[in-house]
Amino acid sequence: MGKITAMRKELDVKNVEQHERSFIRGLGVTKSFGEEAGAFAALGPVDLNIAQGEFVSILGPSGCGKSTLMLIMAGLMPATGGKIDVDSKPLLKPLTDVGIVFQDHLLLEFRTALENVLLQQQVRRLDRVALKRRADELFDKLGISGAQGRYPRQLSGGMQQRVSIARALVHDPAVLFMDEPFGALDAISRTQIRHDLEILWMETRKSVLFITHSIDEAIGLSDRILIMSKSPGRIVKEIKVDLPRPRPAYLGDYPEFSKYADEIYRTFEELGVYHFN
Amino acid sequence: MATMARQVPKIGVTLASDRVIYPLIVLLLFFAAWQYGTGLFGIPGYLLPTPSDFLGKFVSDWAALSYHFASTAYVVLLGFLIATSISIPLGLAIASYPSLRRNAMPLFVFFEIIPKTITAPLLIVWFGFGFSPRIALTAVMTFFPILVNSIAGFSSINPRLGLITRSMGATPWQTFRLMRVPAALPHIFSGMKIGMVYAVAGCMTAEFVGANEGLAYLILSASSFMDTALMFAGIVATALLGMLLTGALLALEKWMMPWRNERS
Repeated sequence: MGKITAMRKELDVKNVEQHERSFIRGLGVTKSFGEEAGAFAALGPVDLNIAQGEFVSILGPSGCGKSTLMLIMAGLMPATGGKIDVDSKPLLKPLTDVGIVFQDHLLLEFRTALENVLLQQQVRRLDRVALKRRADELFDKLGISGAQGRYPRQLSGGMQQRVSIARALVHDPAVLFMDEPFGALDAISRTQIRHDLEILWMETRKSVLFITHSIDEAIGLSDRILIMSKSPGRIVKEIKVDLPRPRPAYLGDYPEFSKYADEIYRTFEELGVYHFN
Repeated sequence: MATMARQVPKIGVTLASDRVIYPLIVLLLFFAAWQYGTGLFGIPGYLLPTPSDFLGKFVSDWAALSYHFASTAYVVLLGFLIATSISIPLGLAIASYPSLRRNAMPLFVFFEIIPKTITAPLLIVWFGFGFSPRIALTAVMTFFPILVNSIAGFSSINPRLGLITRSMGATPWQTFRLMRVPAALPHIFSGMKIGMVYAVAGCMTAEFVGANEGLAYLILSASSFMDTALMFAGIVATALLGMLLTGALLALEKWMMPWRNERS
């Protein structure tokens, strides 16, 4: 465990400078479940900073608390300790200048794809005509134009998730949170949707927090990857990904790719996620 | 990026005329077999009237049949509406407050378990003769299926959807109107469809026990004259009433839940 502590120390120094200019700032965030004596420390302390327009991934094994961290950063779950600022204001209630995509698409079965996306417009009381135009544009960019009038159960898993992404972007939020958005999709769809998301992100440059357990997705999409350890979930390593965009479907052509991937695998091995002999 | 603007081919669509004509032929064959079978086997008309006998009653006794039909229809509709307007809000309350569900459900289950028909004599003591006891029994019979299904409906929403609505800053009223109600509708409608069948049965039971009008009253009085043809006509009229009301409910369901009409 000495190595992990050393990794953390190195991170702490970086964090101070990053913290100052970040759009989303989490400081010493912890989460434990249960009563005081038998409380289970699930998360933290975690420092998490996301700059304006930065694409940050959190990569970690199942059950490391990365989804919990995202819910806390979105103000959808109270933290046990620590503090969160968004745009220099403390986060006291659910963040609303945000779009969220979960692994389960969470579309309403009784609304058509377009109506699901326009739920944002209805709830937020935005201009219908403008939002409809924006929704159609997103359907086009996400490769699902023509699906507007279909109900969720008439769509494939990949299309459902694309509608869910459109719903998260239609109101042009400053922040996009994604919790394993492609986790339920097949490998072929994942590659395509990853690419489409990257193009969309390059156009809008939102601040993104992307939770994943896919190394390919993390390297393929991120500006920065944060690796999380398990129980309690902590960020133990930061990897800056410096690859040109848009990144290709097959990342193996880049020599840097294997460098990043190797670093991630070694970190996982040090954390005890993998045991290779 | 390829667009998905393809039109879904229309497979398995039957012509409307096909859906009407073939069942109608089956019905006519059934009546024809009945008509000639009774003669063939020498079954006397006072035991089993032929279709022409009891369908003829719709002409000869039209005034009586339509009068009692209207009376029963009025009671069924009113009783159904009363039961619906109480059981749906109550279902919402029970689904919304876990303590109410825990503490009051045993009582509701106790009432639900009572065969409602045996309360008919009591309802007559309470409400006297006339419309009131018939409406009361109809409402009591209709009440529970709609209540049970409303509770299920208002509990059916995926709690994780709350993550989406909260991040949109939705008010409780928006969440209720835009999510909870539409999600509950399919359950509520199945409750109402069962309830409608019960409503007709409830009204007929009350009419048997004590009433001076209604289709069950007509059937009962026809039986004292051994007028089996009129009894059959009364039964057919009751079935028609049930079909009419259920059909209206189905049309309403189709209109309110367009997402159910689409093919997968």
